[in-house]
Amino acid sequence: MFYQNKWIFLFLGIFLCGMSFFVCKKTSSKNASSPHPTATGDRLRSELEYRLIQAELLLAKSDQPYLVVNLNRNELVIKLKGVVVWNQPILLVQTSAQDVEDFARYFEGEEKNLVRPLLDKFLFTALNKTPDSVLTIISDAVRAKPELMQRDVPERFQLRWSTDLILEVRTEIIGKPKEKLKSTMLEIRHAIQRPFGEAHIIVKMSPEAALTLYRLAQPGLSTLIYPPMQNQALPAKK
Amino acid sequence: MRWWYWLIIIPLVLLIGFVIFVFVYTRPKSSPNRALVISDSLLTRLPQDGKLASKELEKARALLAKIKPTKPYIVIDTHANSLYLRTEDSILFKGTCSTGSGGELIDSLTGRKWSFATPRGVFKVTSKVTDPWWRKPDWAFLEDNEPIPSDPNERLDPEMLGAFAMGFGDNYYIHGTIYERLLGVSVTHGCVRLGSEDLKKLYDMVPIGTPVYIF
Repeated sequence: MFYQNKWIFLFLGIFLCGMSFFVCKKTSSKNASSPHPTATGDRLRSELEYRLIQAELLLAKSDQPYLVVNLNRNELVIKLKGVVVWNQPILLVQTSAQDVEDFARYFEGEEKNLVRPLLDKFLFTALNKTPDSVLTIISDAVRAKPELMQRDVPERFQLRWSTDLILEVRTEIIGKPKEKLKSTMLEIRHAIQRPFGEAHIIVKMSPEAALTLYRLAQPGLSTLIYPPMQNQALPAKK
Repeated sequence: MRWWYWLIIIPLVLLIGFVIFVFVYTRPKSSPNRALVISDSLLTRLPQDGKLASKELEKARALLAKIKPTKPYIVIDTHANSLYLRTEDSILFKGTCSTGSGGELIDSLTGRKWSFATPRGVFKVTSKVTDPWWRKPDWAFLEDNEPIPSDPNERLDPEMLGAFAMGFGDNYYIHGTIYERLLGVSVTHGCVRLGSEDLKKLYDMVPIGTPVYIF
């Protein structure tokens, strides 16, 4: 009797084949070997350093601050005119070395991007730094709008450079959910997306550092990546 | 078609619909700006010749080193209301400050407008003053609903700026405050306020010409 409705099985078959093909493609690209297998390690390191310096010099020309994800030194840095104005160690949470390598690989992509603009950010939970009652008193005294003085100290937020390239920041404070529905939907999205390929690293930092990063990270923020050295094709040991 | 086929089709359609909804609902609001991407193809490669390559690399390193300050510099983080005196690798001093509220004031009579934001960018400490007196600008009277005095002496306030002030940019100062309880909150008219103890420490540590990075 199944054969009487072939179209259902045809549809299911195509759907499953498509899914399998997509998963296989993502998996095989993950395992793809590094480029330039014949070049020496020193040469590659020099090439990479030269490219990074050029990118830094280009970014330093701008009047806007930029974010540096230095996976080589395990550090997040904000620079203005090429000068360090904020830096935090990358303290990984629930993130493996493979996740970090994936993050660098997804960031660079096929075009070997060193700099990408931030696509968006999402705040899951936060705590109001100053209670509303205090803000009202202050705003009356200094004649400033309370909303301009309000600072949400983030407990957990995500920075996204593309839909599958995410850096999540967590702090130790306990905040309140900001958008419950969207938070849940985003969790579901990641759960669906992860098997098909997603670079997602989670870092822990102090609430004050997280506040600076969250407030600075507006869409379009230029982000430079220093890929981990082991990601480069080094000559095989004989 | 058999009735139980729908037991397969309906959940499948619902599932696909739900997945589409989730992806549409959580899609990024902005679109990536390709103009801001710096990829490999936009950058120059090192020459193939080893000697030329190392020479070129040294040149690039020197260019990068040139843009970095050799002495300690001040960093003002307007997002967290923190002030640092630091080098690339270490923080020599940290204090809680107050920066601009970002508010605006418009004089309803003349239409004059003031924006109370701390300027962002790179500046230098241009002056150091002890026991500074504040020459109250027009907006200070407008804010208090007081008439703007014609006598310049009526504008002077010896208390407001604390014991020290360090000038930077276009008439902006790092100075003290009588409202120390508001440190850490963005409440100023653009200047940077520090607590009296921190101000003294910074004043002693910072010479004229020190770079000030505000972000």
